Amino acid sequence: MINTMLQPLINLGTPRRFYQFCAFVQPWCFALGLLALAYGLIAGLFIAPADYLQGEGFRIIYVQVPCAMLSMLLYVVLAIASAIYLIWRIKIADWVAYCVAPIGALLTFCALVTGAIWGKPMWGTWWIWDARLTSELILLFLYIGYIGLYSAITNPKSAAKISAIFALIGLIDIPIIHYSVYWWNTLHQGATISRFAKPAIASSMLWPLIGMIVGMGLYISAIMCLKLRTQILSREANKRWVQLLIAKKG
Amino acid sequence: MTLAIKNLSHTKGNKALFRHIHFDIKPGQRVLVQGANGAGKSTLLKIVAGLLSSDKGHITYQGHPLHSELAQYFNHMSYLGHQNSLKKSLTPLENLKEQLCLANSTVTDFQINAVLETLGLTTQKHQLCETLSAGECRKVALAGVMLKNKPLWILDEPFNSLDKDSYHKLQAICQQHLGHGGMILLSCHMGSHHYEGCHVVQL
Amino acid sequence: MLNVFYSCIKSDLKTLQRKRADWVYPIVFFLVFISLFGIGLGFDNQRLIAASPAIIWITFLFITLSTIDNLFRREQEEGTLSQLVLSPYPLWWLLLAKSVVFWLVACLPLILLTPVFGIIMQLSSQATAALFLSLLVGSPALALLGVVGATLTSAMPRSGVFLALLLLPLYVPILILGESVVVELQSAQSVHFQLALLGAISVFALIGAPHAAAGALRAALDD
Repeated sequence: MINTMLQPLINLGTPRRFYQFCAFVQPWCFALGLLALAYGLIAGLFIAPADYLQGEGFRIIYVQVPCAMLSMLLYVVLAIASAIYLIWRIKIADWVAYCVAPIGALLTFCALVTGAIWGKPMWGTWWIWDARLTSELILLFLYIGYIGLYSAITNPKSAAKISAIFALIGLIDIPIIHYSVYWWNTLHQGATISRFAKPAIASSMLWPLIGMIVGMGLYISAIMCLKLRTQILSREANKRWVQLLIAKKG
Repeated sequence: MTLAIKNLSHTKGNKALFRHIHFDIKPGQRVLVQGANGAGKSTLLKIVAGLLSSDKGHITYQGHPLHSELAQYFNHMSYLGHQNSLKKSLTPLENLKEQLCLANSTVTDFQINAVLETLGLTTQKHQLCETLSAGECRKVALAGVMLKNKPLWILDEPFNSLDKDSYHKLQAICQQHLGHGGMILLSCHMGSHHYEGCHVVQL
Repeated sequence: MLNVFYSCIKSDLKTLQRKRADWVYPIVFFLVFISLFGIGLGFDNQRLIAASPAIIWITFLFITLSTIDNLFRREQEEGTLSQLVLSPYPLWWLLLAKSVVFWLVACLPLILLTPVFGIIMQLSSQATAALFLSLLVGSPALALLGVVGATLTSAMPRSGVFLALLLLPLYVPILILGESVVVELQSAQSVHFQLALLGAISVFALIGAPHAAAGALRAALDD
């Protein structure tokens, strides 16, 4: 019975079916994502009331928080895809990891930059070595390390396996780093509230935030579909179904 | 104790190296892999040695698939690649002792000395490998293969750097190994090596 | 299994004894490097004392990293790593033996020289003892992760700085904990927690790192 349940998933495991799946899902993700982003941006930037403590400047969380959350989520996706590739040798998992990495790196960078922009007027400094920012910075290094490893190794099979191992080691490392920096900070500064601790947030501010997170997530999924389709076409270029497809498109 | 290779195909990057390679090696048999430079001989030998996994195809040894029992397979196989895999800062004697320990072969000092003498390396056995010539290092590596005494020998261009005398000695050693029921898989790029009744795989 | 473990360690140590340049010069470099800090910060003793634990720990990380990478590269160039892969013994066991050798050669001399560093960097004898302890407990993890990093980058030509990029994020928790041992002991606080955690990380690395390195080495030789 489990077999029949898993059968659609197993069917997706072939590049051709996966390509068709991505082609089907992509426009939906784009449309819904843009809608959610539109709602989030308009509601967040214009309609939601100004924070009583931070004034209008707090609105940057509508960009900062989705970037930070999604950057960490994408790393988890990267690590899970790497694990699937290492254990079951499914090529598509490796391609997913390969495509996700640059997006995750870009999001991490945005999270750091918008975090700095937020911090300067609010707390007076561009940067501070608290647990979350430090973890975010290390996450950026891990992404860069993954991308660097993958591109520097000439043999594609080796590159995939080695980068996958590195991604998994990084996954184990992130919580340890977060915890150790947090512990080191609290030891010295007492119980300071982390810069991005979320105090109780009014619902009129919360919903646009959720909209932004969902919207960004869907938009990124659409981009991923596009990238994966390109990857599939280029890596399977010598297969017949690809050549037929290219011939059909003229 | 047969090694069976079925339907082996492998690509390197986007180039297909070889397709649908079939052959068997039975005790007492020698198989020669021939091909031009870049044809994939070394890759094929590495796949059969268990260092690489091929894109398609099956290799079975004694009826069992290779990758399900690699440790057991390594107990029955000696591989010699392009590099001699010798530590330059150790002497031939020390290198051989370490290799034999790694390969789970118990060999006495007397046997090591005997083999080194056969290959004409008695005077060099206490010199550091970095002071030896390429041919001498190759002979040390071959001594390692001989001493490990495994049934299957996989040799990638073993005659590189050897002088004529050593070449003939090596041929005699291979003949002796086959006579004892051993199997040899070797590669060479020149068509000048002719063996009687030897299966040739052309890439 | 134990036989081959000892044999590997013995033969590796013999090799390194004949190639002293590979691991003696890094020790000298360590001294030179922290002396630069001593010179740079030395006029203000307070600044130097405050920064010493961090300086010594960070330099330790870098030197260990580069020594292990150099030693590993030499083996790779000689082609002897494939001997390990082709051995009937488990690869992780053989790489563990290698990690022990690397620790003995890259980390242990520096740990034994801690009193000298303590004097140069104006640390109190209590702080020096704390430094010694923290390096002793934390360095196995550094050596083991160093081997993992070396195997991960062994498929790349001349990795050098890239290895640092890969490993330093992984070294961060060890750095934080190790340094906190020294700082806390200087202010007479209890350091049991940090040492226990450092020990736990080292044990965790002992269990996991050889397997990760084995997988990476097999994947890297796939060429």
